[in-house]
Amino acid sequence: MSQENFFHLADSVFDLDASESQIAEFERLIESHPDWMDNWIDQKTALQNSLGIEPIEATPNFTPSLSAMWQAQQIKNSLRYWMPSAFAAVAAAVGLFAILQVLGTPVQNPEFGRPEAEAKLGNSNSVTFPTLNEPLSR
Amino acid sequence: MAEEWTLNQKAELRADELALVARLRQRDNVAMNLIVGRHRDRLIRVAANLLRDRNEAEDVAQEAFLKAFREINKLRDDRAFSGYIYKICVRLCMDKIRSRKPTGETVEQGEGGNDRRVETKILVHELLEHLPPEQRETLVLREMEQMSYDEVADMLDIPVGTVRSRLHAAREKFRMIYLEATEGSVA
Repeated sequence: MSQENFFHLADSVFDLDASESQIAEFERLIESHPDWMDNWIDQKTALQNSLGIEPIEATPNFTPSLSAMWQAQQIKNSLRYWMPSAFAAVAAAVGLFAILQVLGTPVQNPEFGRPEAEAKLGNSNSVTFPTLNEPLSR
Repeated sequence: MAEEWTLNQKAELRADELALVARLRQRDNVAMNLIVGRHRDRLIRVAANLLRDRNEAEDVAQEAFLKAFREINKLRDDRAFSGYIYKICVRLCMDKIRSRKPTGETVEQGEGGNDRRVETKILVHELLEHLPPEQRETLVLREMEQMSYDEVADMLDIPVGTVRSRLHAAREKFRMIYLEATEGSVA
């Protein structure tokens, strides 16, 4: 396709008169021939200028605000990247702390110190077993 | 001579761009600002001409830059950054156009202008007078009033096909006049 044909295609696209396939073709062409697009937009601007429409330019805060958005996005991406590792590290630290707490606590019998739990050796009843002299069956 | 100078200048710009994109891949903020400065006005104009809304055009241009920077690894050839960002911008605009209802908004005019622009304006304005009245009329309705083909056809009481062909002829003539004028001023 020649630059001239590209201009016609661009006119159709910008007049919202192009089909989906023409738009796809246009997108393909602007990627491979950005200089054609530069020329088209420069001519379009000149045409609009000649009709009394002042060329549109970026507002003064365009670049600073874009830069701020980019920084914010990078921080967000960085957080998103490190967040699982940070979360895993915190969970591991908490788990380790819990294990150390459990291991550091002395083992205690809950019955320890209660009077009814003490062994009563002094008054234990003696067990009487039958003697072998006695006949087993009467 | 002038042509040779322009070619040299273009080659220099391409080499610069190549270096800037390489730095951009390393997340160099200075390179990012330089690239933005180089492309922003054209990108905003592309978006404004599609969306007919200056504020929305700036937003879309910013979105296009962010997407291009974020997805810089998808760019296979660093020399093609310019086309890559144009494509992203056009695609974002088209998505917006498809998703919105038709409104009667018109593109807002830019502010001020320098002396060179005034000169160009006068020059091109004079040249525009060379267009036949019916072509000029159609062009003005489309470009200034931002009317659709149907609206222009209704206004002038002509078929849509005639609007299309008049616009085509007018733009064709304008381009010839513009090229002659600019080549003349360069020489």
